[in-house]
Amino acid sequence: MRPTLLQELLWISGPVLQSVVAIAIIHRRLLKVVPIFWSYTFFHVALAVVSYAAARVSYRTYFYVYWGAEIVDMVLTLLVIQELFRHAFAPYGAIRSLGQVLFRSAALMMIVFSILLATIGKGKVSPRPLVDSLISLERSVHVFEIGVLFVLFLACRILGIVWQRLPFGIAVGIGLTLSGEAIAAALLAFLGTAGNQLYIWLEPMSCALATGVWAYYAISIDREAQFSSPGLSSTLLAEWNQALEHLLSRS
Amino acid sequence: MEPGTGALAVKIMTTLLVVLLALAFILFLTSLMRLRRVERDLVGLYNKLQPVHLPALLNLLNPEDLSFLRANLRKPDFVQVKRQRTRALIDYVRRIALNAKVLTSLGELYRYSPLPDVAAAGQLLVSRALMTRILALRTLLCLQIELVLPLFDTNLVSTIKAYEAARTRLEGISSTSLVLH
Repeated sequence: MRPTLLQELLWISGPVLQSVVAIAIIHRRLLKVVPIFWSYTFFHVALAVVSYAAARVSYRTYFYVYWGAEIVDMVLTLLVIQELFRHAFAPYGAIRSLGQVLFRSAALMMIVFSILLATIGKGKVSPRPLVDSLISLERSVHVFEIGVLFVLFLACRILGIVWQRLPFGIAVGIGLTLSGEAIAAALLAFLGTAGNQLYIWLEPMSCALATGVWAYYAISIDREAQFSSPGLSSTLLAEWNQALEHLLSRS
Repeated sequence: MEPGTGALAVKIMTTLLVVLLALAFILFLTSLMRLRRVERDLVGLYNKLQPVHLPALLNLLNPEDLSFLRANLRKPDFVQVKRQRTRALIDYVRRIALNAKVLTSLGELYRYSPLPDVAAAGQLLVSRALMTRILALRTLLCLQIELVLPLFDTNLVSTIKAYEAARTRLEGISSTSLVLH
């Protein structure tokens, strides 16, 4: 079946925007800040070219390129999430190691949950067992990665950690693409071939949305903060400090 | 039940679970994007600081008062009074925790100031506020335990000390940035 014009536009918009993101990262000298995310972006741009060429060769070639790339993509996404964990905790020397501990704990927890999900989600014997196994794997890995990313966002909110602009955009984009792909994979696993159309639409839509977010955060510059103090009462602060000194001298 | 009906139910539930989790996560992400905009607004952040009435907190923490009550009240009455005191302390520590979170955001904004002094002070404020936040959260947990087990005692001094250090740092930045502008 030939793709519609809108599908082709969606398909093209992803790699085009990702090229913009990759160039913006180099142009703004952020390559050293997010090297894994840049590799992830570059991989997707290169994959678009390879997939296009593979689709012209044969369906079989395209099939292996697509699923082989999906597996590499799952690993790269996890590495990007690890990079985000490192970034979020890096400015805070006292709790830097907490980031690593959190990442490992969240990963362990989500591995157990994903295995459970993959086990109970297994259906009856299928006429296309390889595709079904791959879709089931994709769904479980996406849920696993969403969980790990959620733990990162939650930890930052609880501790009051403020994200830097680009890592925040990357995290939001990764979250959006993972959610869209998880929904697509879950519906495809449930509906079988009847869900193909949904999958064909949802996957590139979530990717285009995510790359849009990345492009926005990579290109736009943070609004400058107004470094003037808006009237925090100095007498109030002095009063608090005096009372605290009194308390500490008593204890 | 027809054979395979159970498997189908499990399949439906798994699909629903994944779809709902993913949708909830998308909603969570959009709310974070909205919240981030608020966290970058300096005036809004200052307005979010909540007053902590320290003289009243000092009264609550007076160890002599507590010893007096323990010696003179019947155990059930003392437990009741202690629970009321713990509830009030929870309110104070919650405010301290919230203020520490706001101070972290403020410090983060000052950290990117073009003025080196302000940027350095911002970095210090971030570290202190973050430590205060962690201590306040730990104290909150201890106070919740104290609410259930009133004979358990929570030490608030380290939290208040950290809070004081963070606030003093903010006062320092406020005056520096006002002088420099």
